[in-house]
Amino acid sequence: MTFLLTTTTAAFLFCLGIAMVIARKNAILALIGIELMLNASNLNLVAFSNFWPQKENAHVAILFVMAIAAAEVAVGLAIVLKVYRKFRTLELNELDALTEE
Amino acid sequence: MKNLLFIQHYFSLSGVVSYAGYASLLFLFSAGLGTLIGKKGNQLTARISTLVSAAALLLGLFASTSTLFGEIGISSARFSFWGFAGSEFPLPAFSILFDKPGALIFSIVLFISLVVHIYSLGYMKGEANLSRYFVFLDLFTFSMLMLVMAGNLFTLCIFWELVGFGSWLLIGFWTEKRTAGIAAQKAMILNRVGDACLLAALLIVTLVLQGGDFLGIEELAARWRNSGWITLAGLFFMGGIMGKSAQFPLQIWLPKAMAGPTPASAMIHAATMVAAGVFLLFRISPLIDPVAGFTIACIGAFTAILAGLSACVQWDIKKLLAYSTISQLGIMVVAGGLGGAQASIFHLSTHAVFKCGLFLSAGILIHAWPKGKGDPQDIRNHAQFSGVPLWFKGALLFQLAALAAIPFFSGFLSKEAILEVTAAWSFSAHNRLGALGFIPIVLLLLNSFITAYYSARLFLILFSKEVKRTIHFHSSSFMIFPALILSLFSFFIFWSFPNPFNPAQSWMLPFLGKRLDLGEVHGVVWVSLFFVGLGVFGAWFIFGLNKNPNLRTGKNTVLNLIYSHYYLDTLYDRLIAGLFFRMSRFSRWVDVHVIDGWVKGAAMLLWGAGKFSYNLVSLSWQIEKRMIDPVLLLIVDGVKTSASRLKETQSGKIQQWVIFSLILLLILVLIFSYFIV
Amino acid sequence: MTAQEYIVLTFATITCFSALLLLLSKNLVKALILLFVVLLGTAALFVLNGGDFLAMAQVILYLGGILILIMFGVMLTQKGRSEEAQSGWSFPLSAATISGIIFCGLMLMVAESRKALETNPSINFNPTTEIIANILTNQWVFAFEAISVLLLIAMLGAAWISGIRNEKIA
Repeated sequence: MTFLLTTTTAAFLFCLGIAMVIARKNAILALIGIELMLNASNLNLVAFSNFWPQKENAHVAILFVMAIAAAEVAVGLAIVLKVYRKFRTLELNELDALTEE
Repeated sequence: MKNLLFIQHYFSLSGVVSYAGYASLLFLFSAGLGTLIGKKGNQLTARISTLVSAAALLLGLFASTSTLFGEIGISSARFSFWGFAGSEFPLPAFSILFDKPGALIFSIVLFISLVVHIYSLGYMKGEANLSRYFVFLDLFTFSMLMLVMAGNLFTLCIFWELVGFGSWLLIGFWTEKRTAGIAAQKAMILNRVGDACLLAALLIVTLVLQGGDFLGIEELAARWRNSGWITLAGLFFMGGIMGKSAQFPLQIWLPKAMAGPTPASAMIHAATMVAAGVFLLFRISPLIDPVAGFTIACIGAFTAILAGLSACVQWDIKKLLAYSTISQLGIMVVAGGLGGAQASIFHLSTHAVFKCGLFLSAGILIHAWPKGKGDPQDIRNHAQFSGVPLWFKGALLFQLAALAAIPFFSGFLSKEAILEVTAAWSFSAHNRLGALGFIPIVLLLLNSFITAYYSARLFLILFSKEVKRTIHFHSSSFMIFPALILSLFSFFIFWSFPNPFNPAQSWMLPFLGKRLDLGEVHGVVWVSLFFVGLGVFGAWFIFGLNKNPNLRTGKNTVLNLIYSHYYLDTLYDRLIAGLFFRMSRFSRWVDVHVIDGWVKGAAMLLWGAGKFSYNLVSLSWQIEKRMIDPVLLLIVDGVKTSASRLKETQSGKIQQWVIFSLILLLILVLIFSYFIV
Repeated sequence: MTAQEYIVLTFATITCFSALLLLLSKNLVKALILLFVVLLGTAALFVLNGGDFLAMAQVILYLGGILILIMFGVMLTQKGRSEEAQSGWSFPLSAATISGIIFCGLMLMVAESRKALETNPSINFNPTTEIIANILTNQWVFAFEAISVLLLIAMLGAAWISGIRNEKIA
């Protein structure tokens, strides 16, 4: 039951994360969505690591994921700040300078 | 180079024959000199020309007598004009032959030429273009002499045509006279028809029969006996003779040719050029086979009758003499066709003398007639001359008697020879047509009657006692002397000694070669004499007893027919010339209407096509505007909207990209799940 | 259902609900608070699945690091003090569809895995710290050092991107 609940939660969180990335206008909220997705995958891995006799190996991997997530957030927020300073807006719909129009 | 060779050969003709060559060349030289001297030296040219004629006569007589009396024999020179020595090329050579018959005719031509030259000095006095006249005369004489000296058919043809050309020059001498020019053209054209036939004959003889030399003509005839080619060649020769010697149906140029000066008529149309046809007939007589020969004879006899009848009703003296010439030529042609070519040459010689004399006498009369008082050539006008000298009457009498073939005159002898030959042929084995073979002799006898009639008529009208004589007669000695000489030679004695009745004793005949063995018919003389007497009596009856020679003018249709020589002239004009005019008019019509019309039609077609295509274009434009454009615009709109919609996928928005990536990922997962699971 | 499972259920519900509210909230600050709750719930779930050290790492790293960072980001990108931070939605339908499909897919996979495995795993609640330390410094030491270098690079990169280079560091 624990396993099922955990994996369901992870799936739910993952989907919500995708929804956040797609559906939210603010860039920071999109980053939050990415964090949600990462969290969801961590949770899933923890649930599945119980099948291993040495579940600490999976935990180490999860630690690595967390570290990378942190690094990614740092860089991402730096970019967001730069973008905000240039364009004065964080709405993703308006950040379409890469198109020809 | 080759031309020089020819000249060298020409002058190296052996012995006496070369003199004959020089005689001819003298005339050419005189003609050239006259051309150079031009209008300024009229008298000079005339005198030089006459002197040349005399000198040539001497040379010619010398050459002829030498040849005739056989000391030199037949001299002939052959050389290849083309320089193809020994080659297979079948071109004939240019050849000179001076044999006995040739010598005879040569002398006669020279004699007539001298006479005419002297006469012209008197007749053509005061003519502005005198030197041109003598140039033409000499040119003509040169051509005639060379024709007589021709050694093969090819050379003869060359000078045949040259002689025709000379005749054209002389007939149309008076360029201001329009009728003269037309007559010259007519003569030339009809002569050309004859020339075409002669050319065909030449081709046959040269290419098919492989011959053409007059020396070997009897062997050639023997080789090709009974071949159809011989007959064909004979018929074509007949065509040539018809053209040159004015036989039916090409005879109408001769009366028209009287538009030229009288001495020229005397020379050409009495004595020489028209005799060329008879001379040709003589030369090729071995080649004439019975069929062609009989045809020639019939045509000759028929022509003689036609022309004689026309001569009976003429009032123009020159025309009368012209018809008479045609008639006499017909007689000669009859003899030539039936194998008695010697008799025809005999008659040719005598006829040349007395006919030329007649022309010259006529010229005297014409010359004497004062200007502006009517037609100088009308004999009814000539009848009004007063003070006509006896010698003139005598001369005329002699010449007319010779023409009518009255005994003691030359004409009688030669005509009798012809009649004998013709009759003998009809009775001999050569005549395979039975009764039809007597047509020539019968017609000839009839012709005797006619000839005698018109000769007597002429004399009686000219010297009619019933006409008032008011015009004074005069003439120059230049003219008198030649006429007298010629009338003298009309006497029998110069032709046959001593018998005036037997032509067989004529000195001429032996020189003319052997004749066909036809046997002898003696009764023919008396029959002809009977007809002659009848003719004279008839003329005397009509014109001697009757007061007024004008009696026979009338609107009688038959007389008009004969007078105008059966309207042959008009017939030819309408028929042939008219045909050509109609053809040219037709071609013009075709050109204007059909061809130009076609071009116009094509242009109209193009214009119509242009208009049609323009309409089509506007129609299609309408269709396009109304029907096609909306559809197209619709499509364009659709493409535009779909394009703009599609463009929105590339909006540059990150989240859209994420969506698309996820969709793709899902699709891929779906696809691969089928392979994994 | 044991008591442990009830607790797992509770924490799972809290986490999911918070995440849902997080998705549906307009207010940025509210979103931050909800994120806080989600991360906390996830940490609890870590514990309940036998990953005690992981829970601590989650709390320290996420709640104490990443959340603070995001909060700073939110604060630095405000236009003014008077208006609150609001944010709408873009492509809501596409988002719902796609996430729905993915959720279904994932649940299918879960069901498949459960069928294959047949038994629930027995969770071992032994302390994992010592073993993790052992693994990190003995087996995965290279990865450990690499991660450190990565983090250093990330820090430098973030600092450079944000343009702090020319500013005086106070």
